[in-house]
Amino acid sequence: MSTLNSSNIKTLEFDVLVIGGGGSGMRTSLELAKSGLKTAVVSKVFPTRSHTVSAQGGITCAIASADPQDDWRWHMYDTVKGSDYIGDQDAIEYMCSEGPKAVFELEHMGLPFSRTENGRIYQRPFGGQSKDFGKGGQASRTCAAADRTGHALLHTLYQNNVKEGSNFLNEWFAVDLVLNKLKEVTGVVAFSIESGEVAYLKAQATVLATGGAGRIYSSTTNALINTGDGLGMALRAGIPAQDMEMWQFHPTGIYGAGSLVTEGCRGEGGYLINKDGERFMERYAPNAKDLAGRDVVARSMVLEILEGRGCGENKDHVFLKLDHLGADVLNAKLPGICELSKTFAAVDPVYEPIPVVPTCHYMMGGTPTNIHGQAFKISSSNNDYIPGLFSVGEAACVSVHGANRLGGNSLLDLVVFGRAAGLHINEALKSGGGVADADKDDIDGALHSLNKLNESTSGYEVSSVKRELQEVMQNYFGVFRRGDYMEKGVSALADIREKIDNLHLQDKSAAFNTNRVEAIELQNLFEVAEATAISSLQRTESRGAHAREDYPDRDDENWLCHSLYDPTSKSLGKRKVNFEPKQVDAFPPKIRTY
Amino acid sequence: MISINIYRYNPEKDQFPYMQTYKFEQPKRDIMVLELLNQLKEKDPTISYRRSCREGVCGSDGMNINGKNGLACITPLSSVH
Repeated sequence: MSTLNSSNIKTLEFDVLVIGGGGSGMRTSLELAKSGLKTAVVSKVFPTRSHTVSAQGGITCAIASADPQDDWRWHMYDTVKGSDYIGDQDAIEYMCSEGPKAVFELEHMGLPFSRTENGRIYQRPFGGQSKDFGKGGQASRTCAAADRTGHALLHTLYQNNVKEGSNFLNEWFAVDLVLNKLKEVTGVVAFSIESGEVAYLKAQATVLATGGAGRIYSSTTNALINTGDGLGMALRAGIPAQDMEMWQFHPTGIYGAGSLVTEGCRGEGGYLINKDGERFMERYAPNAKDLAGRDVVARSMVLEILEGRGCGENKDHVFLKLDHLGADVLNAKLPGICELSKTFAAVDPVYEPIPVVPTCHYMMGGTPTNIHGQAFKISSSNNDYIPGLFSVGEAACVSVHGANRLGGNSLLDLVVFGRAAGLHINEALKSGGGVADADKDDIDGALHSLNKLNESTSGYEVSSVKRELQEVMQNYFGVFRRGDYMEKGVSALADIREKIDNLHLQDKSAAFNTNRVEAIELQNLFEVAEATAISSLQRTESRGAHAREDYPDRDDENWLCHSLYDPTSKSLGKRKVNFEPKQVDAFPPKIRTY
Repeated sequence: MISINIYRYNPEKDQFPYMQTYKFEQPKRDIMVLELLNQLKEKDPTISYRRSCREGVCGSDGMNINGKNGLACITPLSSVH
C-alpha cells in the first residue's frame, strides 16, 4: 500500500458527521436528519450492534407513572448527590427537567416499554433514588422494557433514522480528527473496514458519540468495541479530557465473565449476600441497603471480600440472591438476566444465587462539553469552545454524572443530550455557523499514524501490548487506589507508550482487516488509560468512584471541582463545577450517606 | 490438541475461499467459540470475524458452526466438539 495523502484519498462531504452509532449518536443524527441537514453516522459496527444494545435496567426519568407525585427536582437532587457534588447543576437540571419530553418522544417513536396494569410505562426502583429530596424513602423512577431497555431503545432509534433519511457509513472506522490552521475541527480521516478504502470525511460539525472505553481494564462489563475511539482521537489532537479518574465499577458483573447483571435485579427485590448468607449491605447502608449508590455498594463488596467473607473456593466474589422473587417475576421482569446467568455462570437464578464481583462499567469522564454538546478547549477561562467539535453520551463529560453515575441516568443522558446537540447544531449551521476548509497538510497530518502503522515492518504485537495495558489499569487503578501503587502504574504506562508508538501491523491486507482496527483501538485505549492514570494520581481525595486509601476523605476545600487533563503537557488542571441551575436553588454539598 | 477448520478468503490474493486448519490445545475449562477465535487470532492476526457485545445480545458474531447457525459468544466449545 502506498503512503496515503490528501491527493490520493477521496473526500466525502456532509453537513454533519456523527462518529458512533449508539444511542447518543443516533439520537443526534435523528434530530439533524429531521431538520434536513445532510448527516452521516460513521459507525465501526452495524449501528444496532453498538454497546447501547447491552443496556438492561432502564432509563431513569420523573414521568410520574409509578408515582403521580414524582417530581424532576427529586430526580435532580438524587443525581447531584449521586455525583458527590461535582456534577454540573445546570446540566443536571436540564437533563432531569427535559427528560420526560425525551422519554415520551421515544414512546411515540415506538419504543416497546413494559407496561403497568393500566397501560402506563412501567417504572422500577433503582439505586440512589429517593422521593422528596431524600426524605420520602425509595422512589421507582426507572422506565423499563423488561431487562432489555437499551436493545429496544437502540433499535427504535435506528428505525427512526432510516425513516428520516440519515446516511450511514456502516463499518467505517474513524482514525483521526482533521483540524485546520484555526484549530477548528473539519472532519475526520476514516476507512471502510470492508474494502480498506480511506477517505477524508469533511463536515461543518463533527460529533463524537463513540461511547466509553471500559476495555482499558481487563475485567469490564463493556463490549469488545468500547475502546474510547473518539476520546483517543481528541486527546491525540491536544483536546482536554475531564474527570478521567472517575470510573464506575458496577457492583454486579458476573464473576469470571464480566457480563453485566442489571441493578434492576436489586430494584425488583434481589440482594447481595456474603459467604455466611448475610445481607451485608444492611451494615454499610442501613437505609438504602442494596440500592445505595453504585460506588458505595461496590466498595462494600470489596471490603467483604478483603475481610475474608467472600464466596467460593477463593472467597473472591459474593452472591446476588434472586430465588426468593419466584420464577414468575424473574421470567417476566428479568428474562435476559436468567439467560445470561445460565450461559455465563451456569446458574439458574430461579434456584441459585449468581456469583458477582464489582466490574468496570462506565466512564464518568470524557471530552468536556456544555449542554449543547460543544467541546471546551484549554484556555484561561476553561470556557472557550473548539469550533466544529461536539461530543455526546458516554464519550462526553457534560457533566451530569460527576464522580458517580446513578443507574438509568446513562440512557437518559444519551437521548437528552443527543437531542440537545442536534437542535443546537441545526440552529448554528442554519444561521451561518461553520468552519473554514482544511489545507492539504492538515489532512496529511491526520493520516500520519495510519501511514506509520501501514508501513511498520517490525515492532510490538497488538494483542500482547493490549493485555499488558489492561493488567496495569486493573492492578493499579481499581476500586481502591493508593498513591504509591498508582505511581508504579503511571511509570508502567510510560514504558508502554514506547510500544504503542511502535506497534507492528502484521496483516497489511485491505479487506476486512481487523488487525488494523484493533491496533488503532489499542492506541485509543492507551490515550484514555494515560489520562485516567495521571488524573487519578493527582486527585488527592476520595470522592464518588475515586476512593483512595491514602486520602480517605472528601476534600471540598481543594477538590470540589472537575479535573481537566491536558494531553499536551500531561498535566492536570481544574475547572469549576456549575452551581447555578436556572429554575431551582443549587443543592449545596452535604455529607453523602445512604 | 483439537483441530479447527476456519473458512478463509482474502479477495486480494485468493481466487476462491478455502478451509484452513488450526491446531489448538484443548482448554482446561469450557470456553465459548468466540473466545477460541480470539485466542487463535492472537496467533494469526489475519483471521477476521465480527464481534461486539460478547454476551449474546448484539448479534455480530452470528456464524455457521459445524453446520449450524449460532452466535459464537454463547456457543460453548463443548457443545460443538
